[in-house]
Amino acid sequence: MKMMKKVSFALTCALALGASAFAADYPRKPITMVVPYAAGGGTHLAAEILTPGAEKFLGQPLEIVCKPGAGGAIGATYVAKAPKDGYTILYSTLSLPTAPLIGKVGYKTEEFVGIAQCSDVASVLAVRADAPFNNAKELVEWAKANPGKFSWSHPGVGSSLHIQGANAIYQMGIASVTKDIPAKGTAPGIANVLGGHVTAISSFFPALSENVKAGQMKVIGVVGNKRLEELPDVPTFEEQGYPALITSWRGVFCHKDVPMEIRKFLEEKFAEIIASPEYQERAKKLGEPQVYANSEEFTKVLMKGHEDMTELVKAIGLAK
Amino acid sequence: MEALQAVLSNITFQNVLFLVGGAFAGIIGGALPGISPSMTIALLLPMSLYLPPSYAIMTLIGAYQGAMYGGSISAILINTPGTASAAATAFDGYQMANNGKAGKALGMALTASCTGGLISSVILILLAKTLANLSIQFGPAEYFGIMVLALTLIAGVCGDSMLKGLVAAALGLLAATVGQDPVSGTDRLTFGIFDLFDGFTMLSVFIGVFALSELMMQLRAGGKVLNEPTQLLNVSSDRITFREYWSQKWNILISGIIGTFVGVLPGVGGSTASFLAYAEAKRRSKYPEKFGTGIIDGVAAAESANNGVCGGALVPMLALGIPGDVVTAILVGAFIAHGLKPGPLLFSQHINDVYMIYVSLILSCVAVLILGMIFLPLFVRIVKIRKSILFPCVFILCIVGTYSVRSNLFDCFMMFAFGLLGYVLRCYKFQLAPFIIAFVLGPEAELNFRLALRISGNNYMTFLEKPICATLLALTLVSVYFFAFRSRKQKKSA
Amino acid sequence: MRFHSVPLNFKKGSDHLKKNDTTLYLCIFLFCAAMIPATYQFVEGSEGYEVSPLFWPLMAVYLGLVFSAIAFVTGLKEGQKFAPAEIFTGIWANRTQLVFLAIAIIYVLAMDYVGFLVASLVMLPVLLLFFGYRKYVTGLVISTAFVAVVFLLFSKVFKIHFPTWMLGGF
Repeated sequence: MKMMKKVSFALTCALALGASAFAADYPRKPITMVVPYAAGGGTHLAAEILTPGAEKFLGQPLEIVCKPGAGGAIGATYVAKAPKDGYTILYSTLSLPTAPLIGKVGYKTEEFVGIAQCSDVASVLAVRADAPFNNAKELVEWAKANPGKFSWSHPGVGSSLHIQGANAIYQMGIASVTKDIPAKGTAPGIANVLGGHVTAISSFFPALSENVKAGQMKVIGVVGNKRLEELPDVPTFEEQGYPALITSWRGVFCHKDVPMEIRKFLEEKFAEIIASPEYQERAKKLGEPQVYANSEEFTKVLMKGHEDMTELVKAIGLAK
Repeated sequence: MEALQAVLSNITFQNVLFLVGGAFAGIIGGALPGISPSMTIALLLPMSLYLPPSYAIMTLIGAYQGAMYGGSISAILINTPGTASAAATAFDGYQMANNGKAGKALGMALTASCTGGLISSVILILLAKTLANLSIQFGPAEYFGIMVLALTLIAGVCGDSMLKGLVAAALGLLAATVGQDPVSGTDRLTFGIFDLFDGFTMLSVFIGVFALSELMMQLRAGGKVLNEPTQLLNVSSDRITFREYWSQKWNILISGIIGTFVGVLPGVGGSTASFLAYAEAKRRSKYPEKFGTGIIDGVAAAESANNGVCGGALVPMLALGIPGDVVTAILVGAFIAHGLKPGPLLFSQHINDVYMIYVSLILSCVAVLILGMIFLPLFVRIVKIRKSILFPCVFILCIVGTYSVRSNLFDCFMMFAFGLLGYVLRCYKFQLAPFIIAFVLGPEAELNFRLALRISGNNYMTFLEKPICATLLALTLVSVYFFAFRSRKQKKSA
Repeated sequence: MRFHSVPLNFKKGSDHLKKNDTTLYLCIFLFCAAMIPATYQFVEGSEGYEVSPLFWPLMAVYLGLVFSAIAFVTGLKEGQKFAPAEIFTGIWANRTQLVFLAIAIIYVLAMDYVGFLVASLVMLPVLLLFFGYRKYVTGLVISTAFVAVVFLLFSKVFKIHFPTWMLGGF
């Protein structure tokens, strides 16, 4: 045993030396950013806009690999298990702290540390235009008066829209008289609402903006801390008396065991990328609301997400 | 007249060039197993962002049609569906290739695809708003009705032994339950294996059950036989003739319509459409027992339907801003990036762009047809490669394709497992079709069944109360009776 | 095809080479039976949901049980013999396929360590031999070319990331 200890100690020293020497000329090869969602989906596209021209800032190209599955957990586990040399980083969303609470995954939220937050998206609760209520209070009254009739759609159990919608429903206190209806994505959900099969939908606004403009649907409230630019007249749930503040953020993470110099380097460079006008323009075109937070703050956001989710997931009944 | 002028002005030389380029890229992406149509479009998307809207639309829609056709190429030649929607094409297509009719199969796939695409384009142009409003009427209960109807069609593809088909179907249903429960989110039958959380990856199952089992069947012949250079068959007769094409006209028409309607329903896509059309063609046919042995009817039905989905999926997208399938979802993103917001207001505010979309849909069918015809002789050559070289290469392609879906090696093991299963089933003369159909449609049926109950508050009568659903269930009973009646008739005459 | 076959049955519409399917049906029956406790173990039923997550898998399993039982009995009635030893002869008869699968599994496992390129460059020539191709040099050339093309196509054009060489530390 003593021999083992000596050997492992020596090895650790060597590795640490190696790591720091290594860090000095980081990056020597392309950096892989893992996106734990399907290629072509919203998160993937949002991650993609970070890559063009990233080489100028990072010194090496930034390559994206999509490893979808298990609500973001497969990709996160992959990064958690990858060598902690800074060449494998993660681009993830609110699902990162949520997934470990819902099921058995291969990582713990505390293993990750934020590098840069890219966006923060608020969601809305929308209903068909002819629904007999126009704001949260009326909705609550109607739901209580018609128990079991109010149903709301979301794109899948454990998804951020599910969480955000549940947040609003629980804040309004009508969870026991309403039902959530998972759908395969937002599109079938919108179709269900338009067809009257489901009462409401928890969605990001861009997906239904045209329907709202055309007068087919109306928004009851915004789940987030401020009103949406596109909907200046629609109050947030908080303003209406129901503080539903969970928003879906997206950003870059890496494992906490990655050496400090590399993390600092990544933080600086990503800050530059995000501040660059080309990125800003691409993000605007995509409709991503820009919210930046640096490494420390973003890590705090992550941990706060973990706390919020622990509570909420228990309340919804999804907790493991 | 104005409309016509606006339409014609969209057909410029550059537009067409981009269209052809997109179609070409689409065909390649579709033909490669593991590269789904949505992946192909997702890859073209960043490129298209640099182009002005008209070129971008042309490229993307060209790629869409191309990819839906492309899947049939590998399905026919190497029994490896290039896309999930080409799985039904493999049933008869590969058998035709085995019988030396690869050129015919490819030709039929090409012409049926293009015709199906044209049919759905026409339906889109004429009936977009009506169809969209109709599709809204379909909620979970109605979807369940469709799925049950589709599942009964399994009875039709059972081949000789209904029992074997039913056993296979039961296995398929069971396999489909692995994964996350769609309503409650807990995991089912994953045995703690993390990578199974989303269930068996559809393409892994397809490639395993079709391609890998085929490789194993071929191994039976032994190295000597596989190493023989293939006889050069009479090339000139291995082409699709106009008469053959014309003999399929009703088949293609009906399958195209089925594909369009399935495409209109958001959340249901190419593979469901092609299976439905295939099973329906078999049901209608005068010689149903020949399906699966290599007749052009099977290929025509499957391919017409899966290209029909293209136009159909655009219906809700254009009329309501709701994408009809995964690819249209990406197209929505592309359109938004170009300042076009698909939705109810699109027709009134951006009618020119709508015309452009119509034009690109129709032209893409033509472009795919021409490209396909040019490259067809090249594709046919692949069958001429001797098997001892071809099959190992196919194996590598299967691995790469399966891996590409999720960048996950576990999917390859999944493929092996299903390959073994497919092989065992084939050794015992089971039909693979019931297994596959149950695997694809089962989860849809279950999800919608449970959602419908959830919405109605556990009221089982909801299925009969809703008119559309009740109609569909009645049709199901009719179809079951039809099959039972027909099989009894056959037994009597035997 | 060297399977135990019962003499051809000339009734129209029935299988040509009658095999002893009964063994398979029994296997399927046993499999489904085993799945019942597995289902209860690995699926969490939940309250508050109208139709439990257990329902559908159980339904599939019971259907499998029923159909395979009927098929088993029908098979016996049609004169097939039930011979459990067939499982072993079956495995031996298909040893080529099983070896193939074994090689394939090793290949994928190895890919995680040596990377896609190395694994495939080794695997494909081996497979060519396995499938009977005897021209060794040409075989090597073809494999190298094919692996290179596939690799370039998928990684450069479609941007798929393949496993890379992981041995030997960083």
